[in-house]
Amino acid sequence: MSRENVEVVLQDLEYWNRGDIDAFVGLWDDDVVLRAAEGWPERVFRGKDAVRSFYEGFAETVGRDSLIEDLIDAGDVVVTRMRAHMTGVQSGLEGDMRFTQVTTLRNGKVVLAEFFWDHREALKAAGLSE
Amino acid sequence: MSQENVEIVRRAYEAFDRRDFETVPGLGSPDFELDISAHPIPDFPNVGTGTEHMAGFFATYLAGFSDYTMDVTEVIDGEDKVVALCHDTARLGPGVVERDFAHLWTVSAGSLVRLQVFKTADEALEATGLKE
Repeated sequence: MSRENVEVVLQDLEYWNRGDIDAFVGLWDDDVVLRAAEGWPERVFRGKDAVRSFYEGFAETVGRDSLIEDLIDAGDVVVTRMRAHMTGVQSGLEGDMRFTQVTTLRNGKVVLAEFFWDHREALKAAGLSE
Repeated sequence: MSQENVEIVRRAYEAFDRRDFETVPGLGSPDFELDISAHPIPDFPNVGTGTEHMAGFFATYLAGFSDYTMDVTEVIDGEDKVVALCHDTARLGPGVVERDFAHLWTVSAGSLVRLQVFKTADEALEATGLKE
């Protein structure tokens, strides 16, 4: 199951990067919970519709050009250190957004996604240490 | 070399105080990395490469305030790492915000190669390995 979870995360990123939001959300459980990183206007999103609205906002502000810098397979949890190229909507600054996503899966579906700016904090949340 | 690294960092702050955004990039290597991922700002990329990015970042950031001052309260020498503890005062109209934060500079061959921004001194020191 562990490798299957990694495959789900990789497949979901592929859907995201090609802009197929329906397929992207299709890999999420109906009762999915998403916890955004500190400083995001809203921090907790519950259910597919709320998660979709989060990602629509994410696409507007950060874009869809994301890649995985590092991946840790921890069974039911997959930790991905991400880097997304972006241009600030207001600031106009071009650069990258680096963050870590901790994804928890059950029966091949994402049930919890947590975002962290600090990779070490993400590892702690996943029950891992650097 | 360690004291020279501290001096380079001090020169960067002096240039910043003068809003001299030609000198600051000149102190950095071409592949200089600015990393604010531990202290992100909305709508700003949290990692950027190159001295042009650094200069643009600071110019854009300062443009958001009617007045901005930053004081370096302590500099800690960690060989190729230099930690600067900072306090800033940012004004926008009647609003004033004061904050403490920490900069972790990496210096190599006489050039600034990386600046990481942290919310606390402890986080910066932990990242250098100077604090267990």
